[in-house]
Formats: sequence, C-alpha cells, structure tokens
Amino acid sequence: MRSWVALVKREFLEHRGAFLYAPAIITLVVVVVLAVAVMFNQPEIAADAGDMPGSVKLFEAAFMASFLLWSVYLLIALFFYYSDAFHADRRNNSMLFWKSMPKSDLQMLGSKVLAGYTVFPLAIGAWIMVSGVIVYLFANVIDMIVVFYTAPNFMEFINSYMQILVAGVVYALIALLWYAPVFGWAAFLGTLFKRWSMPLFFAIPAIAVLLERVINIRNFTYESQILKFIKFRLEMVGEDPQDFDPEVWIMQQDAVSAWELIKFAISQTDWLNMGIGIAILAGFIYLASEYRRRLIDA
Amino acid sequence: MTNPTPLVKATALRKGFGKKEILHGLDFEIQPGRIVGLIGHNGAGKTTTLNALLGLTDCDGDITVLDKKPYTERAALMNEVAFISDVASLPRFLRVRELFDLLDEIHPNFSREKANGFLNGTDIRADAKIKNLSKGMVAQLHLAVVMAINARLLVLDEPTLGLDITYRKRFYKRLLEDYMNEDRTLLITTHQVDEIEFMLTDLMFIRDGHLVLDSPMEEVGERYVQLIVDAKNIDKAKALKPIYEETKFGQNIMIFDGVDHDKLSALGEISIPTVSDLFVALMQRDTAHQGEMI
Repeated sequence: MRSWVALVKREFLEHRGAFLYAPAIITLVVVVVLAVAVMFNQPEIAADAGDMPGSVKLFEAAFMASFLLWSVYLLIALFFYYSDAFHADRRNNSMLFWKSMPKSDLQMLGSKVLAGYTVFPLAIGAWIMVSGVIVYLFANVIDMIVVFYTAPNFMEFINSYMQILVAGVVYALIALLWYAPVFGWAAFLGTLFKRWSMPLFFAIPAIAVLLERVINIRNFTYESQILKFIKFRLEMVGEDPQDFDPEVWIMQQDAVSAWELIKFAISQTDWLNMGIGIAILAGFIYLASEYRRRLIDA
Repeated sequence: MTNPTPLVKATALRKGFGKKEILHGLDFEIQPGRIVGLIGHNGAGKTTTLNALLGLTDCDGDITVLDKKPYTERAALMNEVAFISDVASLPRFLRVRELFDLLDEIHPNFSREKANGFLNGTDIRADAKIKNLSKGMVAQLHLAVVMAINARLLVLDEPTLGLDITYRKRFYKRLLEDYMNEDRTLLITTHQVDEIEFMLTDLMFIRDGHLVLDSPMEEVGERYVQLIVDAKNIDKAKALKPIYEETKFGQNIMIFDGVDHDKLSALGEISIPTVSDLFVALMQRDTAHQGEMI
C-alpha cells in the first residue's frame, strides 16, 4: 500500500504543473478579471442579479458554472496526462531507473491510472472548493454595490456550497468512470507512439470509420457502427426520466438539493456500459504494460 | 571444494534484433561474492547480455539470476538486484529529497540512512533538483542510491561514462570500500578497463556476441603470459605460437596462451599482461567488417 501511495505521489510530482500550478494561475487571472468586471460593469451585474429567483441563486449559478468549467478542464488535462504520462519516463531515460525498482510494468502503469482517478481529480476538486469560496466573496461584494441584491448568509452559503459539491463530485466521478475507455485509448497510444499519440488518438478512429464506410460503399443508408459507438461513449446518454429537469432544478426558488441531482445522475447512467468501459481501460493498460515490458530503449 | 550455487547461470543465451543475432549462445556462471568485469567492444553484446540478465529483454536459451527467470520475474528480482544503466536514468524532475522519499516507500531494501551516509562529503544537497546536478554529481547520487539498496547483485553498465578521472577514481573507491563484501556480487562493464583491473576477481571478454574469455583473474595470470622477447629469440618465441605480437618502443612484445612459463622466461622477460593488453590481444577480429562506401 505504501508503495502505491509513493507511485501515485511520483505521478503528482511529475505532472503537478497541470493540476496545481496552472489552476492557480487560472484562478488568479479569473479573480482579477472578475474584480475588474465588477468594478466596471455594475449596472449589468445589477440587472443579472435582479433576474435571479432567490438570493442564493446568483451564488449557486456562478459556483455551478465554475464547477462545470473546472470539470471540463479536468477532463482535458486528464486527456493530456494519459497521452503524456505513459511515455514521460522514456524522454529522459528514467524508465530504466523505474525498471530497477521491484515493481512490474503493470504496477507502474496502474499507478498512473490510479493517480488519474485520485490525486489529480482531488487537486482540481480543491480548486473547485477554492472557487466556491471566491464566488461567495464576490457575491458579498455585489451585495455591497447592488442595492436590490442580498448575498446568501453564511448558513445558506454552507448549505448550497455542500449541496453543489456533493452533487458535483458524484457527477464528476460518474463522468470520469464513463470516459475510462477514452483515457485507456489515450494511454495505450501514448505508450506505443509517444508524442504522436495525440494526432493518432483522432486519426485511427477516423480512418477506421472511413474504411468501414468504404467497405459498405454500396449501402447508401449504412450508419457507421464505429462512429455510433464513439458517439455513445462520448455523450454519456442514458435513460432520461420525465419527472426531472436539471434546468428547473437549478433555477428553483429554494436552495438546490444534491440528492435530487444524484438520483438523476444515477438513473441516467448506463451501468452495464460503464462496467464494459472500465474493462476496456483495464485491457488497454494491460496491453500497454506488456508492450512496455518488452521495451529497452529509453 | 565444490562451487557454491551460482548467482547467475546462463546457458545457450541467444538474442537477436530482427534478422541480426547479437548474442550467439553464451554460457557462463557468476558465483556469489565475485567482482566480474564484462569487457567488449562497442556493439559486442555487453549491454544486451546485461539486459537479458536484468529481465529488461527476452532472449532464447536459459538464464537464471538468484534462481529467478529475469524476464518473467523482474519485479521480484529487483528486490535483490540493483543496477545502473549506461545512460543517466535518475528521474530529472525530482529533488534529491523527493527521490529518497519515494525510494523509502517503493524499495523494501533501500536504506535512507546509508544513502545519506554515501552522500556525505559530496556537494549534493537534499533540495537540489536532479536536472540541475552536474554529470558527476548525478553519477555519485545514483551510486549512493544503488549502494543504499541491500542487493545481492549489483550490475553497473558503463557507470563512469563521461566522467572525469577524479570522479571515476572516487566512484570505484567508494564502491570497493563502502559496498563490497563477501555476500555481494558485482558485475561491471566499462571501456576503461585499466581503472577496474585492480578490483576484478573474474574477467569476461565478449566479442561479436561470443564469450572469448571467462576466467577468474588468478587463472588469467597463470594462463596468459606477456613476453618481451630478446631479439635473438624471436624465431624461437614465434614457434611457440603467440596469440598476439607487437613492437613497442623497439621492443618485441608477444602474448601467449597456455605456454609453459619456464619455456618463455628463457626467451626474455615475462610478466602477466594487463587486462587492456589482453583485451587487445584477444579481441582482434579476423573477420572484422571492412566498412562500406556510403
């Protein structure tokens, strides 16, 4: 267990730039931009704040928006992480050093996946939490400069903050697990093709779809099964219950309830395909480790 | 007295890349507690042999290291084997302290205390980033790391490549004085053979994927003789079929394999050839590639 923690820590140390330093810079820039915006656009903010159904809504909407943006950032950063981390130690020969450790290639690559599902989302999670606090501070600033807007009190803030965090964490976790085969594909290509993995990530499926189309060229109504599968894996679409509308949920008068959104997320998720996706990730990582086991070039 | 169980045993070891075979069926054993020098030209197959032994590459034939199959049991083997490859391989993004932190957790036989001891007296600081260290410092650090691992076999592939003479001397001194004991075995490859000759107990010469010499140093001294031939005895000496002849500073020098020392001492001044002289004598290639027009 200690060695797994150390291997995950190693990943964090090597890739902390994307998950620690870059978010810090982004946060700083956004704070400055928001401060300037608040100072120079008070009438517009007043109008927007006035449209909100309740005092906590401005905070909730802004916090959820930042949560969503950070989640998109996390997915993009993880895509780059998986494309890079699986060959990073070949750039400076350190793969030979790690191979001198009593850890198999599967364990080494497994630790990279583990880092992608633990410390990196947690790091971005920490930035999301910081963002929530910043949003609340801005809500208080707006409270001071916009006459008819009242910022949520501290208890309302804590309640909304926690509800959004819990719901967001569940959503983010489901998304990370759903996109497991995408990460696995990026990791597998990264192991094999190093920096060429990123164009190949898109080029190989595109060529496969093209070939499929050429093979079925006489069938004008033919729908590419590969493309259908890719769309399905990217869209995260499941059963859509009629009794819940996320937009209505967000804009309701009262503070949002995490449980309603979690129930919606759980009901929407295709759990069978989620499991298949995780198995695909495991398969890609195993194949990548077998390839790496045979590698002696640095 | 029977030999103890060999630490490394290779039988008919073969390895090829594509159609080109690099190792042509090597047979050798390494006994515990020995310091073995594996010497050969560039491209002779030294690193490939070490890679096979360390489980870094698959090969044909049979090889066991500490009773384990290296290629299939590399992770378990690395508990008891440490190595430094021929290229600087310490992770450059880490600080020295972070490296020790990780090793403390990852390697069960790593002693942070020992590693710190080995770094005593060097200019390497705990907060230094490895990428900012000089080449010599990186070599010192890597040696400190592997010496702090309680391994039964240490494999060094050109560990002093590119270092100046001061670092090289210090490196081998450290290795001998602070690391080696009867429970430890060292396998080392280098081109600077004269610098390690004093510490070797066994010598292996590899040429074009064949072992041309595999012998304890004491047997090397008994088997090979260098003769500075008196001018009048040149024909008699040649009749004894030297394996190598050269003229240096007006002296005729010959090296003999397995010729009676008494017979040779009657023809001139005899001595044990240095490893580098023996290397030159044994590594001449009759069928050396003549090169091609490019």
